[in-house]
Amino acid sequence: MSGPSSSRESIRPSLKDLSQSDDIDWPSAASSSRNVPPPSLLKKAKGAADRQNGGPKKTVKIAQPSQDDVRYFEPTPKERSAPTAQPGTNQASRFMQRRFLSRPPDGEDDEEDGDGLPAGRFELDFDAEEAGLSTSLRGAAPPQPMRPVMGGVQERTRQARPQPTTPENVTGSSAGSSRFKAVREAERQAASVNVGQRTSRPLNPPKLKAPSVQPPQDEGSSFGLAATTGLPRSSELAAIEKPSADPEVTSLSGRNVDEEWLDEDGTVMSAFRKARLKREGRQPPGGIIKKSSTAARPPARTLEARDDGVGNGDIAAEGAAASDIDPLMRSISTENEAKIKGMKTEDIEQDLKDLEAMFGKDVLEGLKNRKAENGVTKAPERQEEKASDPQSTPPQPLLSSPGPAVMKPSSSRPRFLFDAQGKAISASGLGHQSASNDHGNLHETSGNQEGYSTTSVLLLARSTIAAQRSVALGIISNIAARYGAQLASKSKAGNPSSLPTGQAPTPRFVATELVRLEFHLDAALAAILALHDRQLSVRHAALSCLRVALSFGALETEVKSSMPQDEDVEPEQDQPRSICAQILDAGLLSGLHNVLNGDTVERNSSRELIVAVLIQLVDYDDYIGDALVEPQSSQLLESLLASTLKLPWPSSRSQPVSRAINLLRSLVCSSRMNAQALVQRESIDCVLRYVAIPPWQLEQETREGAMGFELFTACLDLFTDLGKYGMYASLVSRCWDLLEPVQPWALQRLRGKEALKLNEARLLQSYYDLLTTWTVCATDPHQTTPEHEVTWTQLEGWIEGSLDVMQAAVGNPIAEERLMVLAAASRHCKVWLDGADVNAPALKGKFSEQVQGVVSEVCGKTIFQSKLQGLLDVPSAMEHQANGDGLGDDEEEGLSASEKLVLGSQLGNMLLSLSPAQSQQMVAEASTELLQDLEGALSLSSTPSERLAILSLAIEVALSSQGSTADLFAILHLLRAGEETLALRTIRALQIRAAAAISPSTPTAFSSLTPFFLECLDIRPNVKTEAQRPLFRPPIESRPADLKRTMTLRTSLPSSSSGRSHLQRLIAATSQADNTDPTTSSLLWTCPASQGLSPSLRPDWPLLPLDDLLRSAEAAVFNRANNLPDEGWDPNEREVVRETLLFAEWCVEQLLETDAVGGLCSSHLWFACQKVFMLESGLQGDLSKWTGAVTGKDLFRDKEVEPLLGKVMKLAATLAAREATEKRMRCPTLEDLAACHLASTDPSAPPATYYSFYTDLVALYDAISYGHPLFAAALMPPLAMKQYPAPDYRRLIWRDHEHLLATLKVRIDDVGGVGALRAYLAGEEEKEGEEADDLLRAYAGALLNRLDVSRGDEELMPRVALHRVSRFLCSEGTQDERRQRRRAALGRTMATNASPALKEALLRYDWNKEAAVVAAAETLANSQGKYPPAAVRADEFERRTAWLSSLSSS
Amino acid sequence: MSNAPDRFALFILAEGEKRVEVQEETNIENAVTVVLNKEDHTMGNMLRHAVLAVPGVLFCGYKVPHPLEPRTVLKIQTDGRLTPVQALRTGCERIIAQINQVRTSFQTEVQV
Repeated sequence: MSGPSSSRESIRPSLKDLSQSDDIDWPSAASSSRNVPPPSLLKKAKGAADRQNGGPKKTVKIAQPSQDDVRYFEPTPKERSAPTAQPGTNQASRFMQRRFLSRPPDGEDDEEDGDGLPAGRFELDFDAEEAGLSTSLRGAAPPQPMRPVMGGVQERTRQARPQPTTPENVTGSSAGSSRFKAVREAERQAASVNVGQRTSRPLNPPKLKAPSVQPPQDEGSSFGLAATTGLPRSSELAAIEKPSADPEVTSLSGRNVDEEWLDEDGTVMSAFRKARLKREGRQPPGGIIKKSSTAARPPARTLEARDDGVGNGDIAAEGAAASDIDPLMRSISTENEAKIKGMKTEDIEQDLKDLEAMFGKDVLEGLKNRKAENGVTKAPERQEEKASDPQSTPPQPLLSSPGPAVMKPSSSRPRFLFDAQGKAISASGLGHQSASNDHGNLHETSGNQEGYSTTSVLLLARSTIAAQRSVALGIISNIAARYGAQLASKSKAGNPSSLPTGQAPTPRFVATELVRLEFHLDAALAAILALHDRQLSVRHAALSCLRVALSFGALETEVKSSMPQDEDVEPEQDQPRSICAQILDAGLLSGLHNVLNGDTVERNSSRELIVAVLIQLVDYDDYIGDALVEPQSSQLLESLLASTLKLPWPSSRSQPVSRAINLLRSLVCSSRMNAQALVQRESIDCVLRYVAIPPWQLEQETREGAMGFELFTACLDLFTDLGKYGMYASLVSRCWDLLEPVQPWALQRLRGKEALKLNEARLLQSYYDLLTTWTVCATDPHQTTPEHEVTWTQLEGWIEGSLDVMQAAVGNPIAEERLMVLAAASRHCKVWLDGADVNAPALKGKFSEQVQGVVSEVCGKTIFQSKLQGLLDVPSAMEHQANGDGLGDDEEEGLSASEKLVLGSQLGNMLLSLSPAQSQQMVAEASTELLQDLEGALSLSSTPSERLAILSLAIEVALSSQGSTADLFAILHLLRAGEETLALRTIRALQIRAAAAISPSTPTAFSSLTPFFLECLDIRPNVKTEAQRPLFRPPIESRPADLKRTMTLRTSLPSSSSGRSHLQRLIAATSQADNTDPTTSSLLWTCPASQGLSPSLRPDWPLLPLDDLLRSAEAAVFNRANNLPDEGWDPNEREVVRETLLFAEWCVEQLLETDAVGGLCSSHLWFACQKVFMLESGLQGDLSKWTGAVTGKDLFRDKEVEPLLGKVMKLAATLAAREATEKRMRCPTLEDLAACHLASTDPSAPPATYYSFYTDLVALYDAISYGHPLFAAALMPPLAMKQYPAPDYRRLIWRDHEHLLATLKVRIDDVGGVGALRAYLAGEEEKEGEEADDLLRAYAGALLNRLDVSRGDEELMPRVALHRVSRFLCSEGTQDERRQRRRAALGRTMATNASPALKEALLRYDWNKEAAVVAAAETLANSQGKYPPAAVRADEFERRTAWLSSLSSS
Repeated sequence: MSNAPDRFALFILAEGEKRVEVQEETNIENAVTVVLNKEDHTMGNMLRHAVLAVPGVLFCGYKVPHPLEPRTVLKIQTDGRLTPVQALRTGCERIIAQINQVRTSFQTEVQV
């Protein structure tokens, strides 16, 4: 294939180049609209321009000290002797002062002298700083630079409230000064080493005078010194600079402090001072009190989760009285505002720059944000804002949001009130507010009804009173359970707009709204929080609530996908991921562990609940399974197993939880890694006790007797699951004696007179399934993990027992239970015979005959035939299912409808595989109903394995001589992800049938297409490559070669996969390695439309090789290592195209015959044909010639491809005509198809557009076509488009490639006849404004110069031009002056230049009655393929003629 | 770019290479493919327009098969009144005349 691909490479880039690299006015592909950058680029350019201009201007308001600014500064001793600056001279802003201060000092002495420096240095007061800072810059920025700004605050505070300063614990000279001064002095003494190193620093600490007494002094304060020299002066500064080093300091908001220290005056001490005193080992001067707010708050967990300090309370919590701070802050604020008003703009900007230089951007941003936050927080209408603006409360997890923020319901949606049973009692519309929420009264009213809203009940779940928490959790689970059931039902969603306010809403509507509000997530998180509760009852309620919430959540993904998207509901693709992450992060596993360990009373029920929750979660996301099994977090699983399974058995004291085995099964199924971990850790061994004593030996009347069968069966199923990975098969050598007694017991039961019970039958079914799995393992013991776990000799004798059981099972009476055993035993026989092929060929013949004998005996029984027919009777099964829903669990004893169907399918499969000749006729007859309503049958099946059983039988029957091709097509469209093997089997069968129908002489026909189909189904044709690939879906038929490759037993990954599990990482890595070019390491291209069966096979699957051919240079199918078949596959491009077209033609004909088109549209076929025109074939010329002779030959001229193209285009025209008349299905447009067929795998590549493809196609036509009629017809379909870009395509042909019009001799029949003609005539260019002028001019020009209007009844282009021009010319239309002017201009042109024949055609054409006349032409079925245009009446013609001649005369 | 083709290879013919090769289409009437070696869009586009303007020409198109190969392929089909080669010759003559005309007028204008 290298030849064709390189030749094609050489063509296609040149086309692109033609259109883009040409500077001169070259009309072909160089269209203006093609090169217009997409809006996203324009947006980017605009953003770049904004950045260049410096972005939007931001302003920060800054205050300057005014003349009456009262400040008290701490002078140095030297300064104290110097004359102090008058306050009145201090005109510069405070930041101006800082700017001066921040200049590099000439020397410390200079600075201390303060020569030339304006007044403005001041001493910081740390308490004040903490009080202010902590509200704004909680951990966001280093607090140190803020001190001067905030320094004034505390000084004012002290001025406003002069306090007697009598520190008892501050010694010596500090007596009489402020406490801060005293503390600082004391500390300075402690840190005298630091001070002593600085000789220039005054030895005596500066003294702070009492603020009320001391006049303002400034300059050269010790802080100013420290700031300008940049050296920390004392440990206070160090403490501030390293806030995270001290736990006390980190708790700026006071959250972690459980006791409060009081100052000398009895007020609450700041955290900073407290930290200092603690470091020094001192006691607080005012004593210690327990934090008063702690008691009033919910427990600590709630505090952590909820209180992020919004509101007034947080200032109080930080050591200063809110009542003191608030008025002060306000006064500062007003003062600042006034000061800024008085400043000049330049000054402000200068100050801003200084600020930024000094503090950095972060601090300024933090200040600005603080302002914004405070504005919102303190506004009285905060609640209303939140309620009315959904944007202000983005959806947040319950845990990370404060109380009021959980009020996610926006007021645009109705809110519901629920009663205690979880029933919605009313819906309140817009404007209803629960004002009570803020006051702790969570019971709400709406009109005359009372109840709980979702918000209030979630809040109530965090109440301090255990009973309330318990009740709230109960209500939450009631709501989730009630409306989860509604989601599960298939009824339609209610229409929100039709809901009258105040009435009880429909349950379905409430359920949908709850999904929208993500109620399940909030509920789950609230429940997880409550799992850590102290109260047993709360924990138990939380567990139930969690279970229900998770069920609700699992349903939610389905509902969301089916829900119509609102304009304000963004599709959130990562939603499931975030849910899982949040559930885990919220401490789910530790919570469950807590419940498990702390539970002493109702152990059993809570253990069962925990197991149920875990099973749900493991099915919900693989990652949770991984987390359970991981060694570091496996304590939960271990203790769960210890309390549920590792119990004495049989024992009347403790009862095992049988579902715990199901949890182990879920973990095993989730991934091979988990199964391996469990086996290695010997977690599985604990279940062996339940197979040690056969359940039939237990007393049947006791509880143990009832449980015995269930536990035994569950264990066998667990071993079967492990055996599918090739694990744990050593059980055969270790304890076969435990399982061996089942066989004689089975024979005894089957031969006995007593009917087999259902649980006994299930046990036997599981038993023979286990034997089947182990037989597969023994067939090739090298594939087990570890190898040689089980050998063939160990199980060679099992076949005899199975044969006996088969014989015994067909004995009278044939009940369903017996058939279950028969199916399982016959499966074992089949697998054993396959294994004997390899391991014991001598024995195979003998037992094969015996098996055949049993099967023929079975098939011979008429009662068996009728029984099988009954099992496979789909209509009655569906009816049974529909009725069964209402009956509840009355029929526990019998098999359900779907189980019967599956049993029938399994039996049919077995019979067909064991003895096809004898059973084929019988099974085909029995499964007639199944094939007729396969979709219905599949809808009954609930698990993937059930689907597989039914589908396998359907395919087998359809493949047999009794089945039809239509059945195969029908089955193919029902296949879903995970059923690729079945799809391949069906496609191969279709290929064989097509080959037989088209060319019986060549049996290998269509084999060249196989690699493309395999690629589409993600199956590697190379046997060696395939054998090394990990298998991420369980094989449909268990084969020894698959044991080691099987990575999971799930047919599909959980819908809510978070992508974090080991398995998913493995899948990603494998696909990455798989899709990388081995030589260039670039990403290989696979057609996005043909990626397996998700959701189903693409409708035009027979045509998919064309996509790969079109991009053969990078297509994965050609370039992946070892991807093409080893030998026997060597077709060239021409052959692939020929076979593709041949096969597609056959398929479409079959589909058209049976009227089951299956989603295939005319656009699929048109697009495929257009792709063929873009290809070239073979090499031309001598390769040794040095110049560019590597140019291929046009493929569409090939003598085999050309007629095929014609046929496919004819089929496309037929389909187009059908679509135009029937309109029964929505067909994708060419644009849609291009978007998914041509899309690149490179995410950075521009999106593929059909317009770009089409310009290349037209340019190619222009260059090489010689006016080929098929090529011309292939250009037509885009001209019939309806939606927006349609005029662009018309413009491209009619205006830009006007010289081509003479060669476009496309007949109307070629594009689908009359039906399709309507689409080409539609479109009203005359209404499209000025842009349409050039199109009209192009139509008129084409009529005058290029087209022969006399061929308008046969050819498309003259007809379209005639229609458009005549419609514009001859319709009076509106009295729009501009239109009349244009009309007159066109009329004059026509009157002057047009030939008489053209004039007459234009004037006689009745565009008004076009549709009617066309329909009449259709009914006449003109055999010549002519569709004569309609003509107007004679008087109208006269009138138009007169009008035109009047124009020409004027 | 050690393997970049020589600049002169864009316009100097190799040994034994013809400037124009005419290949008759075997299965299409009155159609030829004219290969213009060492020519690019400049000549191709000009000739295409000139030949299309000749009466009796049904189709004329060109392509440059590969952007790095100085080679233009011109396809001409006529209705039988004249052969494609005649049409090409007529087109060439017209272009020559037009260019002469342009040159003359340019010189006239410049002299003035």
